[in-house]
Amino acid sequence: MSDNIHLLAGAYALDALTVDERAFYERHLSVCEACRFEVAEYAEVAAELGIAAAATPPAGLRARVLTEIEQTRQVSATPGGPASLSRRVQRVLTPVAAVLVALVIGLSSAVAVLWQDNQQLESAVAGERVLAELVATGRSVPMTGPSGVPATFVFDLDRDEGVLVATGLSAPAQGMTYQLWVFRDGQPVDAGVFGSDGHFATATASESLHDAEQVAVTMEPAGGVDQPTGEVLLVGEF
Amino acid sequence: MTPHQTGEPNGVRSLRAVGSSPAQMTLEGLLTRVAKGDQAAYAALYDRTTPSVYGLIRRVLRDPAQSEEVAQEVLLEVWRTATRFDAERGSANAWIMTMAHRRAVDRVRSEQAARARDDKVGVRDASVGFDEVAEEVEARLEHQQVRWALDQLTDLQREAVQLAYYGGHTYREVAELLDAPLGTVKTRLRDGFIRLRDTLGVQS
Repeated sequence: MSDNIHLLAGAYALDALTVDERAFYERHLSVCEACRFEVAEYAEVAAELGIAAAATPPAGLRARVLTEIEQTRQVSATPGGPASLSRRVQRVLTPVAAVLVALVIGLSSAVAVLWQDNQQLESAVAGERVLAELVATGRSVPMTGPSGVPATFVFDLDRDEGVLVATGLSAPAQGMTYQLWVFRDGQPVDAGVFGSDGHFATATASESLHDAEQVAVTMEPAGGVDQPTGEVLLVGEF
Repeated sequence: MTPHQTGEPNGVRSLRAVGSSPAQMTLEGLLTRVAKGDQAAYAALYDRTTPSVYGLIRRVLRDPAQSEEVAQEVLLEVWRTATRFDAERGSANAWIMTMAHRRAVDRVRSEQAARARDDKVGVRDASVGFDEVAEEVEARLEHQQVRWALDQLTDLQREAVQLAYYGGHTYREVAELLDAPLGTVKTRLRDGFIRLRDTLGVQS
């Protein structure tokens, strides 16, 4: 077999190996770059063979699949993997964070208590801790926008951390999300997506704040985008 | 992509990026968006790839109900594991069609194993010529191109490739069906691929 192992690339690309043979060959692939390259080429050819067999799919399949993906989790990217890791969705605050938010925004504590009764307990622990520390030691810039929603961005350049805090930001539209951006050299850089329950929203910036000129919020398709497409809802100048 | 900035009376800049619509994106671009949970991008990807995914599975499995079932599994798996797609290792088509083919082959073999246990049936019927098509196969350009490319192979290479790819047979089964030594079949499969690759002008 060892003489012929390099001949198996074709059979492998055609899925013409048994389960055991496939496992054996895959172990070989992990150490043989030439074979990996060959297999990748054959996979492209095989794809053409497959595409040539295209047929009209049955009615109803599309609707079923599109409905099911809404309830299907995607595997998360491995560290350093192709997908960006900056898409941490920020959830709702715990009571402690809610009070901090109120202090930051300058609202009365009565409002904060009222809100606590309605909120969920799910929360991004890291965001909360950062917020608490930033409120104690950091600076803030007010955020303004067409919606008139009270918001501020609390940050600390030494730690290079920042958290957006907003009240009264309505929940994003169906299939949409809020996205935070940091502007550097006039270019927007993705700083994470977040939601709002209609009362409070926070978002920890996943992008560095060094040399940032502005921070802004837009509404984008769920999952976020690489460049802003929506109107600016909130903006703050450093 | 640089965003356009328009001045607005209240001083708030409106930033509208010149984005790509799904219709203009490559499959790789769509798949990258799908990896971030973009359902609109997935719908566009679905429309472009499902005829191939379903068509291939149908060729291998034959049974319409099972084909639909396996196609649905594959299409969901594309959504579920989109983050694992790495554009440096191959095209989106190759990633998706490899998944479709492998699932179809695994299903047809597990069905065969079940039947073999019951009926002691030998190797499955070998009639899987390229032109043996289900009624709904459209006469597409790719279909003609691939048919022509397959015609450039020797008869033996073509038979081996068709039995393996569209028939879902292991190369040992192919050897049995063609009454040829294992080494010969392995060589034919590889040479057939090299010929197809060159004829179709495919690059990885």
